[in-house]
This record gives sequence, C-alpha cells and structure tokens, in this order.
Amino acid sequence: MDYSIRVRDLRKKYRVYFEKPALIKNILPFLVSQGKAQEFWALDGISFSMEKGECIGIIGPNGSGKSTILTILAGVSSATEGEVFTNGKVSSLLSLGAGFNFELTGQENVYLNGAILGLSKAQIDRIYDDIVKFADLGKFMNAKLATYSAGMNMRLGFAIAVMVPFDILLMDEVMAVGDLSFQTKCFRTMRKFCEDEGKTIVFVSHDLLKVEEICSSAIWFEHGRAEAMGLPGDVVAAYKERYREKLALGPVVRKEAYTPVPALVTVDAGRELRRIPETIFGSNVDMFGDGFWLCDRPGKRLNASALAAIEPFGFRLLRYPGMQHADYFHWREAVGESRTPQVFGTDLKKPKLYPHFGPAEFLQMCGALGAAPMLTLNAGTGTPEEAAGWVSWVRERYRGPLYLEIGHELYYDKFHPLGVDFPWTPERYARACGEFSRAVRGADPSARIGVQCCLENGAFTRYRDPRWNEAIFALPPETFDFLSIHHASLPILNITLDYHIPTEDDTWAALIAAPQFVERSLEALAAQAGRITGKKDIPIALSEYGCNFTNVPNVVHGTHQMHDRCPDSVEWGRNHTFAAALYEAGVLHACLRRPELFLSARMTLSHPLFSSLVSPQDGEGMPLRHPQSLMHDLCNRFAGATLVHTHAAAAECATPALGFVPANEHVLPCDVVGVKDAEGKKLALSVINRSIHAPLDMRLDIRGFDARHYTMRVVQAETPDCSSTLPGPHQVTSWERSFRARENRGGDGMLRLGLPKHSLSVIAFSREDWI
Amino acid sequence: MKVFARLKLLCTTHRELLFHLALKNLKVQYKYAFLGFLWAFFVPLWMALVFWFLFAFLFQRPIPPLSIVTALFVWQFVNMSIAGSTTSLIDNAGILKKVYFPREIIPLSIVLSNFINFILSLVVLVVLVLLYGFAKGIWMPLPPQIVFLPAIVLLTLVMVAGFVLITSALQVFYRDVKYVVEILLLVWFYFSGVFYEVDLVADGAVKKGFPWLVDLFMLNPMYDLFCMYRLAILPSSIPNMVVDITLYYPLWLMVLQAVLFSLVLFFCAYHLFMKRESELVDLI
Repeated sequence: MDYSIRVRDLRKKYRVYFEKPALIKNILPFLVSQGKAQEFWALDGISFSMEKGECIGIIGPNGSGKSTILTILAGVSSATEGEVFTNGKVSSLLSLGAGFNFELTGQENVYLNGAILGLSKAQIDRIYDDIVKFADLGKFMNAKLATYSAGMNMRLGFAIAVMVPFDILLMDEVMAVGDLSFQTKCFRTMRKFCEDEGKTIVFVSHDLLKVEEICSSAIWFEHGRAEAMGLPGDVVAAYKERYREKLALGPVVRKEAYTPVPALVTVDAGRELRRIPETIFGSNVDMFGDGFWLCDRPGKRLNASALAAIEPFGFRLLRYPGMQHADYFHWREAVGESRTPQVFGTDLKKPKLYPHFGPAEFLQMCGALGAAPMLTLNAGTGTPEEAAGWVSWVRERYRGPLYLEIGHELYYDKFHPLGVDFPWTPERYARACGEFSRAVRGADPSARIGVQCCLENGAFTRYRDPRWNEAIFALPPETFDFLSIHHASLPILNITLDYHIPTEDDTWAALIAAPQFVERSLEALAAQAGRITGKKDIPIALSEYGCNFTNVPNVVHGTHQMHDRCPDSVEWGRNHTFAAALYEAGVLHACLRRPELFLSARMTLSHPLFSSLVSPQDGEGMPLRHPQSLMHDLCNRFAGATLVHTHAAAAECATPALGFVPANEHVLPCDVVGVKDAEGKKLALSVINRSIHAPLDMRLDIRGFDARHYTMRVVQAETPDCSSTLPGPHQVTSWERSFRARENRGGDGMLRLGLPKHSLSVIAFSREDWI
Repeated sequence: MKVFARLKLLCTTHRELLFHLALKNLKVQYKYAFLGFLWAFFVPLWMALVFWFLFAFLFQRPIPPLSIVTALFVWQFVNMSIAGSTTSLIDNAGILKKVYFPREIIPLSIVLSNFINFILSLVVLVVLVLLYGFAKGIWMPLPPQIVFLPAIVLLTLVMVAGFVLITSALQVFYRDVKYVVEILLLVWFYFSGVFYEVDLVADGAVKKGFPWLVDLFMLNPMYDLFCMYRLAILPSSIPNMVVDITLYYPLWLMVLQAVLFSLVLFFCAYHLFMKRESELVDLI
C-alpha cells in the first residue's frame, strides 16, 4: 500500500492559561499566587491512514480538534504523543491571509509565500503566471494586499497553495468567502488533483454537502476523538442525526413549525414562448443626491470601483432622468459643456441642489456598463425644440440604441413644482406629446419613442381616468413606437391613503400582492390599446417600479418596525431588505410573462443601494450576499434567453385588505418562470415562495430537457428572522450539487425540492457533467 | 553539532527565504517613508550631534565627534536588531502557523535586514572620515588595521544573533521580556562608553575607592567592539577615544574576550532555541 499519511494514537495537549504566563509569576511564585495552567487534550488518540489519491473530509463541531490535526500534519505544531507520518511535500491553506504581508503587493506576496514554502525564485517564476491566472487577479497583482477583499485574499492564497508542487494538500474551511464560481473552480481543481494526479487532500469543512460530494472518505471529530470514520455519506448521515436539531434550524431557533405547502411545478422546455428582451432588466438611475460615490466631484470621471460594484447587477437598460429628476428637471439646462446642474427638490424657494451626476455622466455610465439609455422627456416642462436639442446633444455623444419616453406625471391636480399651469386636460397632454414626438423624431429618426400612459388601477384619481389613454391612442400611429407606464403610483406605495404606518404583517401582505397588481395593469393597458387602436401587440415599457420610493420607504419596505428588533438590518433597509428583492423579482416575473413588455426600469440603482455597497456589514464579498444578489442571478441568467412554458399549482393564500388592495386578494404562494439557452444545454428557474410562514414542498416536473446528469445550482435567500441575531447578509445561501436524472425522484419521477418560507431561489440546471 | 547542521541548512536550503524575509522587512520599513533608507544613518547622526553639543557646550568637555558617530552606528545596529526581533515571532504568527520552516529565520531575518543597513552606514562612515580630513585640509589615510573590519563586523553579527535568539524565544514564553530588554538596552548603552573614555570611569572608580569597577567595565563586550571599530576605521591622526586603552587592558585580551563571548553566546543561544522550538507555535 502506498501510504501518504499515517497517524497513530496521536494526542496533543495544550496548556490553557487563564492569562498569558508572565515572567514575574514564574520567578517569584511565592509573591503572586500562580494561576494553575489547565491541561486540555485537543486530540485524544486519533489514528487513521490515507492512501495516495484519497480526499478525506474532516467534519465536526467547533473545538473538536479539526484544525489542530491540520497544524500537526503541516508540521507547524508538534504532537505530544503518538506518531505522525506524512509521505511527500505538504502544501497548506490553514487560515485566511496567513503568511501574507498586507503592506506588500500581490506579486511580492506570491514570491514571499513561495519562499516560505521553500521554493527558489526560479521555481516561483515558473508557476507565477499560473497562480495569477488561477486567482484571476490580473491587474490587481501590483496593488497592495491591504486593498484586497477577503475573497481576493482567499483566491490568492488558494492559488498559491495548489500551484506549488505538492503531494498532500491541507485545507481548512477558508473557501466560504470566495464567490460561487471560484468555489466551484476550487472544488473542481481539488477533485482533479485526487483523481487524476494521485495527490492527497485533507479537507476540513462545515459544508456537509461538499464533503459528501468531493471526499472519498470522512472522519467526524468530536472532543478530539474520531467519532466515526468511513464513507462520507455514512459519516455525514450519522453526524446529521446527532445534530439534527441544530443543523436543521441553524442559528435561528424558530418555535412555530408550519406545514409545508405542497406545490406542483411543471416546466415544459419544449414549449418556447419568446426570447426575453435584455432591456427588461433595466434600472432607473436616480436619487443620487450629490452624486453619491458614483460621481462625487463635478467634471470628473465616474468612480471605477462604484461601477465595478454595479456591474454584477446586470442592468441592460438605464433610465434617466427619473422620478423627482424627471418631474423637476429642466433637462434643457443640462445641455452644453457649461451646463447648469439639475434642479432638485419640490420647493423652488429652497436652495437648489447641484448634483454632480448629470446627463454626460449618465451616458458615460451607460457606456461603461454596456446598457442602453432610456431618456425621459418631460412634456410638462420646456418646449419641443428644446427637447429636440437635448436629443441631438445626446446623439453627438452616444451612438447605440436609444429609447425616449415622452410624458408627464399626470396626477398633479393643483399645481406643478416647476410652475407650469395645471391641471392639464387629456387633449392638451396628447397634443404636447405629439409635438414633442415630432420634434425629437426630426432630431433623431432612429430613436424609439414611447408615450406615457395611465393606469386603470392606479392610486391617484386623475390617473385612473380612461380619457388620458384614449387621447394618446387617438394620436397618429407614427407618434409612438411603444407605450410606457409608471408604477410609482402603484397601490403598494400608498398602503393606506392617509400614509399611516401599517403593521408588519400588512406590509408583507402588500408586498406579496403587489406584483399581481403590476401584471394586472399591464394586461389592462394592452387590452385597452388593442381595443381602441385595433393594433395587437403594441410594445409596452414599465418603469419606476420597485421599493425605493419617496417619502414612505420604511413603510413600504417593512423595515420601519423591524429596525427596533433587528438592528442588524438598519443598513439593509430601503430596497435592500429581502422583502424588496422578492417584490422586485415578483414584478420581473410578471414582466417576463407579458409578451408585449420589452423595457423595464426598476428603482434599484440609487443612493441607498450605494450606501449599502459602500458600508457593507458583512465585510467583503458583499454584492454576493446582498439580498439583491438573487436579482443579479435572475437578470444574468434570464437576459437574452428563451422563456419556456411553466405552470405552478398550489393552494392560494389570501392577503388582508390594505388601502387599494381588496380583502382576501388571492395569490399563489409559488411563482415560477423558466428559461433555457439557445443550445438547450442549460435551464434556469426562478422560483418565489410568497408565503410568509410556510415553506414550499415543491415537486418539479421537467419536460423537454433530457439528460442523464444534471448539475443543479441554487442561490437561495429567505427573509431573515429578526427575533434572532442573524444579520441581514446571511440571508443569501447558495449550494450546488449534481445528480443523476433518476436520482432524487420519487415514484412519480419528479424532482423534489424544499424551498424556505418567503424565499427566492434561482435554480440552474446544466447538462454539463463536471463531476 | 546539531547547531552546525542547522546552520548549514540555513545557509543552503533556507538561504533564499532568509534573504527574502530580510528584504521584505526593508521594503516594508522604507517603502512609504519619504527619506527611505536614509533614516538608517540619520538617526545615529542626529544622536551624535546631540551628544557632541551637550559635551562641547554644557559640560565643557569636547569629545571627538567621529568617535561618537562610529560607536552610534554600531549601537544602532545592535539596538535595532535586538529591539526589533524580540517580538518578531509573535508578530509573524501568521507565517509561523502556516508552514514549518526553521523558526529562527524570523528573528535572524530582522538581524539581517538591519545588518544590510549597517553595512551601508559603515560606507557612509568611511566617507564621513574622508570628508572630515578634506574639511581640515589634510590627507588622512585610513589606518592599515581597517583590513580587520570584516572580521569585526562578522563578530558583531554573531553576537547580535546570539542575543536575538534568546530574547525572541523568551518573549514567546514570557510576554514581559520585551520591557526588560528595553530597559537593559538603555542601561547597556550608557555603560558602554559611547561618549566617554575609560579613564573617566577609572577616575571615578578610584576616587570612590572601588578600583575593581574598571575591570568590571572592561568586561563589557560592547565596549570592546566599540574600541575595535574605532581603531579599525578612524585614522590615527585625529583625536580618538581609545588611545589610552592599553594602559588598562592588553588589546589581544580585549579581542579574545569579545570573540569568546560572542561564540559561546551564539552557540548556547542557538542550542536553547532549537530545544524549545517545538513549543513555540503552540504558545504564540
């Protein structure tokens, strides 16, 4: 037998002092009563051996001796009793940042680390490029390590550990800080080392799924002894059995148990509905105040790190100016090099705010993110000529596809902040839109023009008047290419007419019902347009929806009451609570399902988002653990893919009456949309469990997507339980596993998946067989 | 014998790591300082200026400035090395817990980085000596005994390494060692004749009726080193503080004493370090 590690009766004693031993106590023991050192056996008779090519997983609770054995195997610490024999060169990744000097650059640290691991400079030269490539840190190699995030640090550490020549690799749980794709890469690499190159890996982890999947054997440590040893499946099962309660519920102990709601989800990958326009995954660029973080100084370039933080959000459309900027914005003043910045604020007597983020910066941002711009032209301010002037100014600086949205917030019935006479009539509104449209078409014939319509089920009385839309539809057909609606006045935002603060349950309920209202107003608009114009499939754009809105953010986002009990979530307020992400996802689902919808801009990209990106609570790796990260996954997987037919069946749940939401509005707890890629190799589902209390017991029936192996990756988040100390960022978890098509299925041949209460899951199936 | 084997290992397998760490120390030390490496001899030069001023003006007892500078450069090396490496094992817990390599490399790398500074400051010193003569308008050749300088420098290195191996290991076991070392270094500095001559000690000792104090003073190996450096570098034509030393002590005895002290210290320290090495990491 070719042993690579042999450990026999290993014991390790630590002396635990109540304080560090001080000189004076040892020299003058009679003066100071000496705190007796307590002996502690961290390892108490461990024996095992490993052959070459084995990967052994060590699991166990904290303090059970897992890390101690790694330090002894690494030769860093010595055994008190027993024998340890390692055959070959040992490489280790015992703790994050160990051996790194934060004042030196990444490159210098690679050489330093290599030297510590006993490599000569020439040897490091040979593997240097591989390390950089594996860590994927290219341009950061010349930056000081102090500027690295925990994830980058880990990537560099891992890359060095696996690229130096070794026979035995020791890994402590450090991968948790890496992002999912890097974790996958790590595991894939580890597997390759064992199976193809006959190297030995000792892997300490709390990730039981990974241990089961990757390791060839496992040891369960308990109080310095091996409690169980053998096949990973058996050891993990025994471990789970012992810790069933703690593992099942994690750090959150919730007493009430709700019976899971059974749901049957059918996905028919053979029935393709439409190709999803990438522009559906858009955002408003709004409420930046003084250019917060993105552009803090006038005339300067955009902050690159801010752009890098936004990039993973996957926005394919950026709408500007929006919301207050659209209503109170003299865009004509923003034209030209010496532009006067925007007027911001409702009261013209108050001093003006001069944000540094203007049209030029906006175009720069579109270019950097590769998103298409959508400009709003407020027909309530300025003249058509000025609008045309602005569009040509934009065209001089931007060549790609351009969307224009002409319109005006029509719910003002007494005055308008910019002093334009009010109220308007539907005729006057339609006339203004027509004039604007003609003028901007003259300036740029290639732009696609939309006209803002009203909502039948909107919150404002004036807005509900069908004559507005009738006047718009009566315009000559060449006036508009699409219709646009705002959901700023969605009932959800005015949970009660008098803006009283609803209870937490009311807020949840309203957020649950909201996407259904969006879907309904889209449907109503499409029907009305079809009825009057006689044209089917007039494209529709949806903008200004989302949780980040105006003066009732805390109410809307349900964070107001939660703050008292859940201080951790304060920073995660506004549109960064999970409830907000879930609501936005719900509306996106509705958008994907409506065939006439091709543009949408949610209210995500704004000051509060940036404040949470700038001051992350969870340290590094933030965007991934952000509740909005689920949205990234949804956007990035769904953009440009083909929507397939899905159907969900479950018992409906009722919501209470809230403002405009009628009592007992019935919603399905389970909301599913699915897409597949052009080659049919990947299938992704976005599943929302709307139920606040009950988990979902989902049976998944996938048709038209056949493969012997699936790799399933789930990014999942659920609403935090604020009575615990669990901080916001930990809402997001992700896991990945692969299985055979026949596996995991009951007698009915369906895949069973449990989804947590009030959660959003993005499940990606891949036919690629990597494990 | 074990010590020799270990030394051989240090000079072959781990030589690269030792130098790498030493260079890293220098880089980290000077990377963000505006004057960078110049600080290594600015500090002793300023100290020399202060002493020279104090003695020339306040005590009316002028002392030869180059003699002070010589001693202060040597002291700078000794002081920085010992003070800097005492806590080094604890400071580098991250590296030590990551992978095994001879643990003495950590403190010795700090000695080595200071040693590089020291060599450069010796060059500066020689330039200063030549400039001194140039300013006086006379040609002062360097003394022929300068050929012994490398040996003296090596002796200093061995002695400092010995001290450092003891203090750095002790610091892990007893965290107050750092403060004791600070105090002892201060005391040592003032009792090593940086800015006074041995006859001053003799005067005082004889006057007070303790003539054996002179012998005790002469036992100080640091004083021996200072004398050796002064004799080896400073030209005989300028005032030097060691002219009368042989009245008290034969030169060969002084050298022998320093050499014996350094070697015994080094090997004992290394032996003890290796003996306790396995316990170090558990206590960090």
